[in-house]
Amino acid sequence: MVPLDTDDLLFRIRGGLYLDGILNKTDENGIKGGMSEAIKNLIAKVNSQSFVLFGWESSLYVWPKSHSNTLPTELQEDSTCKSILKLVPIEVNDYLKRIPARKSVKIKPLKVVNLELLFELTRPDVFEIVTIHNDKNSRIHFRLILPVDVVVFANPEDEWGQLQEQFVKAVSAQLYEMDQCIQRFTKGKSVPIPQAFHFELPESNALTTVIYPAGYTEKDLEPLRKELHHKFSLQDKPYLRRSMAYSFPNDDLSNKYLKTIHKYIPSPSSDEFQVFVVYGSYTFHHYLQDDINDGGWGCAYRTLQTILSWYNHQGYINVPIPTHEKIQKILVTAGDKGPSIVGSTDWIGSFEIRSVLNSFGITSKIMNIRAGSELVLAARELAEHFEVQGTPVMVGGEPLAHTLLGVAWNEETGAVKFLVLDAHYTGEDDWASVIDKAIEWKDEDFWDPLEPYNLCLPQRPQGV
Amino acid sequence: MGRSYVIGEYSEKYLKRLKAEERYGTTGILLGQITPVKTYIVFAARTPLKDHAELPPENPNEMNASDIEWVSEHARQVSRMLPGGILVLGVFLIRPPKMTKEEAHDIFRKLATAVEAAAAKERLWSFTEEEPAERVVLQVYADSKKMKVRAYDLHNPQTPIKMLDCKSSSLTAPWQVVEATINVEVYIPVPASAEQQFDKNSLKGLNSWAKQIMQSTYLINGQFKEPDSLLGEGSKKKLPAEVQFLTAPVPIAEGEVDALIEDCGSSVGVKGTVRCRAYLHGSKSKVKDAIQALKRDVLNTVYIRCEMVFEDQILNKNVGGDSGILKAPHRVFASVLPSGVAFCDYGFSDEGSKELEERYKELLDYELHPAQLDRAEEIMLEELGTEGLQDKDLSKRAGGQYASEGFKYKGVAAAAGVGVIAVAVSVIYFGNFIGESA
Repeated sequence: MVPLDTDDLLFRIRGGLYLDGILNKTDENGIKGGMSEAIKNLIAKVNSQSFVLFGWESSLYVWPKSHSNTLPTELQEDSTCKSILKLVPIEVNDYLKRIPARKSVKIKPLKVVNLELLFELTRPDVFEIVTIHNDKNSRIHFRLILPVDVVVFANPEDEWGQLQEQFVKAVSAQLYEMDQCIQRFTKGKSVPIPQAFHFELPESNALTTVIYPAGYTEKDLEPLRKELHHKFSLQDKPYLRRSMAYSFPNDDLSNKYLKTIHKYIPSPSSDEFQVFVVYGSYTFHHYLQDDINDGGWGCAYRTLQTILSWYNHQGYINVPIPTHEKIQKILVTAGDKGPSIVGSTDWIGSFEIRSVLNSFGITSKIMNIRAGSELVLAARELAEHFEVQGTPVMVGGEPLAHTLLGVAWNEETGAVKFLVLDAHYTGEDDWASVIDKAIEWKDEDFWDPLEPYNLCLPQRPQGV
Repeated sequence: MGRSYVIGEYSEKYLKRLKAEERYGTTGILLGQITPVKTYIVFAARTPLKDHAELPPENPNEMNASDIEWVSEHARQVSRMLPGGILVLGVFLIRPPKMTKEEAHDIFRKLATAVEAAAAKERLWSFTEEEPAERVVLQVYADSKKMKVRAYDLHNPQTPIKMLDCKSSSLTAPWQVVEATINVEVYIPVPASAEQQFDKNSLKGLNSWAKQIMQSTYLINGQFKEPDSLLGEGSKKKLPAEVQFLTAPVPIAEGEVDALIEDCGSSVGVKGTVRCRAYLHGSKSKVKDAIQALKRDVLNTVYIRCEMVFEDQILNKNVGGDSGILKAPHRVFASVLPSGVAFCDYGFSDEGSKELEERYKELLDYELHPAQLDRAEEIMLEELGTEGLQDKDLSKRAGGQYASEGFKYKGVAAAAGVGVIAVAVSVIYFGNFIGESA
């Protein structure tokens, strides 16, 4: 996983590269061959002096192959990479630094340098004559834009001269992989556009980029993912579903909901505790969000929204987060509630949560706890839930519902801690306030010892 | 309106000479630059006489449709000789002595718009909305020293515009030059249904390439410069600025899933290197104007070369059959004005300067001296290019000649001699031809 505390710079190179040409053959192999040829030419261009990188919103143009640039006094071959920070605006989530230190893990947000990929039209290289295809078969014109998106990690002290070589290699490698994708997935005259996705993998501090063909469902791509899981020695949990792609700082900044906030607070010490937390990403939903005034009654609805966001982010469903009213309508359609619930401020419980999840094709288990004091006995089962299913859990009591994201269990003392995401939070959606007030590892006494609780444990579908 | 018209020394002298020779009724075209505030007339050239050396009618009212077409065709041919920034501005007329004020309004309007329409045929680009859309008719009065300009709004040719004076200025101070070298590589699919091969409509396929060029980013003398900044940075010294063009950032289309795959019957491939140039008047020209003028020159020169090759093929009836790789002519500049503004023409490296001189005489009424020729492209390509004629099928062409309908100037000999290729046009056919014998 990309560490939250990192000095690293991430250079992100993006650009739409035109592939435009004429083919002799019209059969599938002919088309595949033609595409391969065109991409080979593109790779040659990337390795030539006409390959240019441009720093977004700056006046810096770089020719990696000739090691020159438009700001030579500021950026030389032996300059360190961090020199570039003065020349190109950085993409970074500075808000993370405002999280109160006492509550958070050490955070040094990742700095991203965005570069655009261009070709120079004006540098005369060696000319070659167009070869003639004296082929009497009908011909094909193809055009597509390859959406190149390459990430290169660098240490700020790395030498700029070296880094330029890496850029060329990385872009070439991605183009080659895009060709592989086209070769594998072209059927007849249908050539899917290869798209790049970046993922965090458990054993790596950097991002892993996978090329997927556009227009295919997650289900269609499961065989490919299985191969990749094998290649990267990944467990039988989803890592490479496209919706799980890494959120860059600007993605986080432009999202109105906060994502996966529990990662910003420290877990109970692993010397003492075995920790089991929710897997993957989710967004945090709570009282008063989206201008809905549900203070006092909407906590179960909000927990449900958080749970659905988990399924969205892991790519099992793709739905807009339903409003309270939409949720109520679903319950009416499912026959669980009468029509009077729609537009009301009625509470819902774990059974209703299960019912709504069901309408989206998600199954869940219900766990009954007779009294809050017995919740610790369920620790083992909850641990297994987070380990295997990895989904957020709804804990429904009278009158409050909570979102449970993890358990930690001290084998020796038998103490149990619960990672609680507070759906009753009424503040703003900014990292500092939310992490300060809405997420915490609670002790056993957090639960009302006498009240019964019903838990809804959503199940994760099989496969990756 | 705040617009003023400035006529340069060369043009003024030329027109006065025509008047002195009592060549009443002579028409011709005006060349120059339109800036946001002023129109600069830098050159004038009389319409060539028709074949049978017939003099133009003395009274312009007597001009008929074929006369107007003749003038327009001249304008079209001349527009091929212009570098970036210089346009066909309109026409001039040496007024016969007895002509009254109201006469020939209709003809003038027709001349102004026809000349622009003819020049526009050679373009892959159009004017933006901010650019003043007017063309002028300049009248030289027989019985006085006056020269008056009547301007016509191209969007509204009928609106009356008053007559304006033309201010004199030498216009001999050097103009700012911007230059670039561009590598072109375009493949145009031609649908199987295309009727005529070497159809000029095939050249419309250059439109998407043209759009890319117009959107491309640029560097001036190796540096990034804001579009609204001054090109010369206010300094008096006008050194030529070298421009580099870079592909425009292409937005990645959301929701696009598959590549475009379409059938075609043949294709036209255009590949090679061209040298482009644009001239800007004064020291206050903005970077964005210079870049726009230069980009338009890129489009012009590529289009014209392709057109010339096509015209030649049609003329020599090579419309069926595989013609192999065709070479397009080089561009040769000739510095004609003291301000440095050069015109250009197209020819092959093995061609002497005689044909170019003849053409300058006929179209521009100018005596060209071989020393004025600037064979920039050929020199550059000799230094940097390779010959690489790998294809064995390169057919040797028996010295066809380009000729145009209106003006019988000796065109460019399309010899398949060894030379460095400026632009190679390869056209491949399918269809119902039965071998090459015509």
